[in-house]
Amino acid sequence: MTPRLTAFNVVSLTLGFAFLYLPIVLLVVFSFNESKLVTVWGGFSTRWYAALLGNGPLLEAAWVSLRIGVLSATFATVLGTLAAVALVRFGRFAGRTLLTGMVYAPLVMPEVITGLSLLLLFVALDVDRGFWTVTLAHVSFSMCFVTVVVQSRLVTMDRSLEEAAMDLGATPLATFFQVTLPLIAPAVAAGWMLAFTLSLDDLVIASFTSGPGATTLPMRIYGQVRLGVSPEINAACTIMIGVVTLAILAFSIASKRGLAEPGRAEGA
Amino acid sequence: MAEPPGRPAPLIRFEGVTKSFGAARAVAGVDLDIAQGEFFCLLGPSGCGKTTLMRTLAGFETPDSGRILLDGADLAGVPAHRRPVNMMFQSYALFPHMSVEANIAFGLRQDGVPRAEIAERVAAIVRTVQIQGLEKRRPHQLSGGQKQRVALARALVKRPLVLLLDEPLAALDRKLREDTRFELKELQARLGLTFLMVTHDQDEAMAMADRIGVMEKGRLVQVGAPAEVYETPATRGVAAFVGDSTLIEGVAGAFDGAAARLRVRAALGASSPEFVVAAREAPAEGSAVTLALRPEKLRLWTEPPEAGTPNVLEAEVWDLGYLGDKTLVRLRLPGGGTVRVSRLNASRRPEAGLSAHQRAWIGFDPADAVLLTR
Repeated sequence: MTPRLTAFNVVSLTLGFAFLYLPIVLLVVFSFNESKLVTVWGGFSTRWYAALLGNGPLLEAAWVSLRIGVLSATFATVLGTLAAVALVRFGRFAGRTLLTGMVYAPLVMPEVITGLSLLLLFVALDVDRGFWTVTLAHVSFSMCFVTVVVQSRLVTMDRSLEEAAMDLGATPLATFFQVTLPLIAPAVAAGWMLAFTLSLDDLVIASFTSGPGATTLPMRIYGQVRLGVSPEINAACTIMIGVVTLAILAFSIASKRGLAEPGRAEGA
Repeated sequence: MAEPPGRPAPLIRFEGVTKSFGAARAVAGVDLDIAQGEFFCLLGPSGCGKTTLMRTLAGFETPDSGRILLDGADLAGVPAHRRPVNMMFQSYALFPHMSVEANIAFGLRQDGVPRAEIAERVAAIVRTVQIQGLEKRRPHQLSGGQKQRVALARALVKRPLVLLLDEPLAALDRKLREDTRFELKELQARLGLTFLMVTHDQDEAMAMADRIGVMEKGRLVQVGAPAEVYETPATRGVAAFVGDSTLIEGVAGAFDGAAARLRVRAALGASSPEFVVAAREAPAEGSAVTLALRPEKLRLWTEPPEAGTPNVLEAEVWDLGYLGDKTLVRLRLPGGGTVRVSRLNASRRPEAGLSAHQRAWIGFDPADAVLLTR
């Protein structure tokens, strides 16, 4: 079914995409601007990318963000997957509704509130804010996204595969690692990618929970922009867009592969 | 367990097994003994509880009450992975991320069987079910029949005390299904294994099982050899579900003890003919009874039969269903109601002298009607 390209369709498509992507396209274009003036085109150049390499604080922030992203995504994936398994496989246990609500709450919770409440918690516990507090904060808000992704895969998985494994003598733990996990692996990978991207993007929660010496890339960029936009920032942002785009692509490929995987409904 | 002498203890014993899901009672107090080496089939319409009963033996459902004994040992509290039974799933449940070989070896690996022995036993079972050459394939590269064999091999390779088969042939096409019936039966006899099969297909149950247990709304209503269940169904439900029957309601009349014959006043719409049927003991006179008439046991005449022929009814041919090997004739009785009669097409001549809306006479021998009081 291919819808016909009418004038109306073309115009609305163009306007829609322009609305969404024009600012990003401008940013990418001006990152290759020769001129120091952000809004005046002075010819093509990669000098701002070179300048980026000399910008110590910015590189340091990127490194911090990368480490927080990998760590928090990994923790969030483990916890989120466990929550999904509990929700889908353990039937109606006491507190199931409560757990469902609590797992999904961060999806809709305003980031300012999540950030503020975490800040209050860390202050109350007298924890030194820094790398680990940001990582923990990111785990707590990205875990639910992993749960959603993994849960949707688990519910479509043929339950009798797990029963067959147990019937053949596999303990519940062996069943999980030898049958369930390999079959939901694409969703788990997709969940990790999503959590990583969310962590990399986050400014609000990181601002609340970070401390000296743990400035993430979005925090650094935001801080510099307040002193004036330099083409260097455009270059940094372009690189970030590239990284996030790659992660999203990998995520969608992983979940597509998950859908194509046989074994969800074997037989007739 | 006090067993009467001379009878071996059963391999499987269900004692008052009951299982409910919420308000729905899936299995209601089932008692059943299955002997070592028997091919037992649970037969019933979908939702009758047969699969649930089998799953209680596999350990996937816990009975609300009652006991299940396997080889004399109570299975209560034994998790599925420690029970010496294996199941062949309706969907086959082959692990899609493993090769055929790895699928079959899975159960042996869990038991820590040495690598060399695993290879040996897998190779042997692959020969038994004749899937040589498929060892390296993934399940999605197999045909339905091949998947079925792999699933069978995977369950058999562990040498279970009981093999459970959940609708084992449902996913196969008709021709393959009929061939596989005999193969499974032969395999069971050759290995001397106990098979417990669940099916809603009565042909399958008849062709394969040593004994059939017919289930109805969670209860086991009749247990017996296929011929016994077919020829002497215990209840109206069994008569209607196993094979084709025309059920005629009636009222018990006088009983002739010497000839073991009972008179039954039938209620066929407006008319109420009287039949004579064989009966071992008489139900109370005036009580409601049902006659079950098998289509192949009814006789059909196009001319009035000679006087004195018992249990004759005049009817009108309604339609003819040609099925190849036989023709199913539906007749309307004058008082209302329909009767099905099947005629074997033993020769290639088309059904001679029978057409819709013609007059015909049907009748049955007193011994060929089944008298049902339940």
